[in-house]
Amino acid sequence: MNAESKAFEQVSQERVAFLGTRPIPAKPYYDADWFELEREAVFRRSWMCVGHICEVPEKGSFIRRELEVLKASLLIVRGKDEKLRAFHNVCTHRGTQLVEEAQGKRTRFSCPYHMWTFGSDGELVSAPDFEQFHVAKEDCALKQVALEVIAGLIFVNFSKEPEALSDQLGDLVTQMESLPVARATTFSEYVYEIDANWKLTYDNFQENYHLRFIHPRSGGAACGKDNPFGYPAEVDFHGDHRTQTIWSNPDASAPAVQELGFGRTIPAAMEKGLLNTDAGRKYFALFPSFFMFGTPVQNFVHVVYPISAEKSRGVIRLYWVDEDGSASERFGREAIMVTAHDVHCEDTAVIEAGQRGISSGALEHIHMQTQESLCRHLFNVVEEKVHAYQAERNGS
Amino acid sequence: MSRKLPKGFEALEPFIAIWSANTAAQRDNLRTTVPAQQRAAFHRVIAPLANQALDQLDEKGLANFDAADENLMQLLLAYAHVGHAEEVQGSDEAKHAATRPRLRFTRAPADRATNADSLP
Ligand code: FES
Ligand SMILES: [Fe+2]
Repeated sequence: MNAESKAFEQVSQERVAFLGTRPIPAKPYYDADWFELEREAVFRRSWMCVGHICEVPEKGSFIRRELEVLKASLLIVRGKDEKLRAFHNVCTHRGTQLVEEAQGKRTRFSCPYHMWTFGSDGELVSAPDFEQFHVAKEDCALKQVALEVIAGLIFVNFSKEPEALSDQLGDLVTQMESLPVARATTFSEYVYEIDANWKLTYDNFQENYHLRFIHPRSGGAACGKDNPFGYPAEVDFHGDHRTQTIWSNPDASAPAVQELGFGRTIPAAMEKGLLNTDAGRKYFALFPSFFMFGTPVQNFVHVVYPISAEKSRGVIRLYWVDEDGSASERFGREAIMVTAHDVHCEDTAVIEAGQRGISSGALEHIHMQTQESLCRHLFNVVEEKVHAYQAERNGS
Repeated sequence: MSRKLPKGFEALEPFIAIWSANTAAQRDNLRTTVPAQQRAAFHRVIAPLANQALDQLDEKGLANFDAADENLMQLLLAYAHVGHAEEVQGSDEAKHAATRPRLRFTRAPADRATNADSLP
């Protein structure tokens, strides 16, 4: 025990009273009409994480990303001016998708249909027999989407003039920038598809109430004597975004493979200055569907991408600074990835069981307790945006 | 004849054929598909050697690995998975294995033949 350890105190209801205590309507968690509203009210107007700058390191490097919720295919390209831009992967002649590869490096992008050719800055460079057209080349550039990089992470926003994500995040930017992700050069990744609404899926990862039941073995260290549910030490709200501070169990002990995994990466992490962060116990939940866990030796990002009202997919990445420098680092990164994966695997079945129950229409409402206030906050924000969008559409 | 593993790790030789893999996805699959008894037998031998093996490989440096060092590295990477089966999941491992194919490993720094990026 050190001087800092004190008895766990859970987040009080007063702290989150501003969120209300009403039961939450169930319909938005399965209803197709509500999902259509979310497409426009939430996803077409919010910053969504689509990758990391380490994937587009050089002039001409590009990645293609599909955002099903907006029926969009995006091309994220580093131009010859080094600038990173996001474009619709859509030829401006008659709409053909330009690029099929998931990633690569090119100076020009030629449409397979009639060979319109675009530069890495999106400008139309050449088009066969262009004299026959009735439009100027300057007006045929690829359609651009707003892009912002925070802590190395690439975010896009389909609004015409979105409020900068850094302005929305305020202090959180510095905290995020202090984590390995900001300097990452490589990553581990695993992906899943799930028959569940994006909010129901996402909520599972922003409440700890389920830990001891769903993760009795893999989540053991998260719960302890004076905090049997492993509730967060703190929660915080930043506009549409929110964070929690993960409680550290002073009595936790890890199995040998995990101790070896984490222990073996620490010397290199220390040498690289990666442990100097105040955000090491922070869990960032950026609206609408982004998570990042701050632990510097397990700095993971988890994004839930909606596909339909009852279908989503998730991408989880653990970000690393530099290629493996030693056998220890190589082993540690593999083990740390498996540790995270083991936990995440245990969640999917119960999320889908929740979706089946909700989709049956048996419930008009679901209930959220004080320690599920991050889930409540997400719903409140979504609902507010959907209502504002409806009002806007009705011209009121 | 060149040795299959660095000196001192001969006890691991019988496991090379089963547990060497190119990717995290393959290692995860081995954790699931190799019969439980064989998995436990591998774990019994490698767990007490892992620390020393890493020390020795660190000393050598990744750039100087010969085939024997590479074999040992691959077994350690398999231990990263198998250790979770034996030390974390224990008797729940079979149940846990059923959940794992849902979350597909698509990339890891240790992958020898890197998969294409998974984001569609
Ligand atoms: S649609 Fe692309 S060149 Fe015609
Ligand atoms: Fe969980």
